[in-house]
Amino acid sequence: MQDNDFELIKKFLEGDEVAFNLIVRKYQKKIYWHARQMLGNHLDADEVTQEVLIVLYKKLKDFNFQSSLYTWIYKIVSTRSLNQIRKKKVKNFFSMDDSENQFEAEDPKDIVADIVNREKLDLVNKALQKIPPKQREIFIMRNYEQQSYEEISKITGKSIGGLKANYFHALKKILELTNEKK
Amino acid sequence: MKKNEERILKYLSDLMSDSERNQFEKELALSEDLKNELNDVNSGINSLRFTEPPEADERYFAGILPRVREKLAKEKKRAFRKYAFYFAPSAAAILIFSLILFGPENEIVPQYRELAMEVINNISDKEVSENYFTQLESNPADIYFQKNSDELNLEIPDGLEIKNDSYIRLLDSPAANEYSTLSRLSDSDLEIVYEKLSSATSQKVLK
Repeated sequence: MQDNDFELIKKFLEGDEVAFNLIVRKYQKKIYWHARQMLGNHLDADEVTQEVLIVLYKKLKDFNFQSSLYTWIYKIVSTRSLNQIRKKKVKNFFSMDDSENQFEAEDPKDIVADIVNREKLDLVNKALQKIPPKQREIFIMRNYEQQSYEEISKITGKSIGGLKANYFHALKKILELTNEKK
Repeated sequence: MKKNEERILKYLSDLMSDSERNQFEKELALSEDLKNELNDVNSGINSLRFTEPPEADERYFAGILPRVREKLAKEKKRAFRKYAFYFAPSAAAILIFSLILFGPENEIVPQYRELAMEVINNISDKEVSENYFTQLESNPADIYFQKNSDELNLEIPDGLEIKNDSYIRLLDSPAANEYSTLSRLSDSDLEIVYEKLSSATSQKVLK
């Protein structure tokens, strides 16, 4: 997979625009779902997904082939998602909206058509939005993306011990919150 | 919270030391209650997990790339405008400096300036008109006629028995316009002229 990614990057850097399309098609869903879980709604996730792909297009020339493309993309998604959360917090601070209810309203443009999945996603999202972003991020990477602590450490730059502690707290809170809802 | 939940979560988070882990696993092998509690927590976590991403509208994912491409194209345009905006004054300044330093003004203008000063200081109006504005002595109308004489040299078709001066009259004299020239011809003459004109024209076309 990594060799194929490197091949695509090289082609893109040589001017092959189709190679970029292939990279996008390969990673767009992973980018979207990570952002979606982090941000809790489709509109923000869509914005971050596009931002990440634009950054990818502009910065691929700086890719140093030291890590996998997957790790590198996740770094961008992670940073952009956390930035978006900060932006929203600032926005909510200055607006009259009740920040507690920011994720309550149903997203009219939600792309999840299946009702069962949608309900499950809503339940998880509501719980996830109530834990700190750093814990949320690790919970998502461990639980949904099945990443090892080593991989998460490469992406976030945090120590493995710190990640384990964060995951423990995240698990505890999420289970409490979802048990309450049930 | 169940009594072992904290330990179970530590175990699942890989937060236990090696000795704690060994101890926990020994207990797990012996205690059915602990095993059930671990299963409960695990199933709770699994209920939140998506083995596959939720089924979503594929049209959305199909549309991402075109939208990204569109945004990139817009950014490129904006960047070009931005650069143009910032560089235009610099380019203009450089151009002006180049003209001042290397432009034709330094070589040519002093010559004209000297000539102008000579004319103003030393030469009378009459001399100026005689020596410097000689071209203006000729009739502007003549110059115009010379320039446009080619357009007036109409080619008369071969075999057409109309005198050249008829054409000249037709073109030079305002009174002798096409209508007055042709009105003087009889119907039969007109017919001949028409036939000759059309045969001459068709021959020219065939050539």
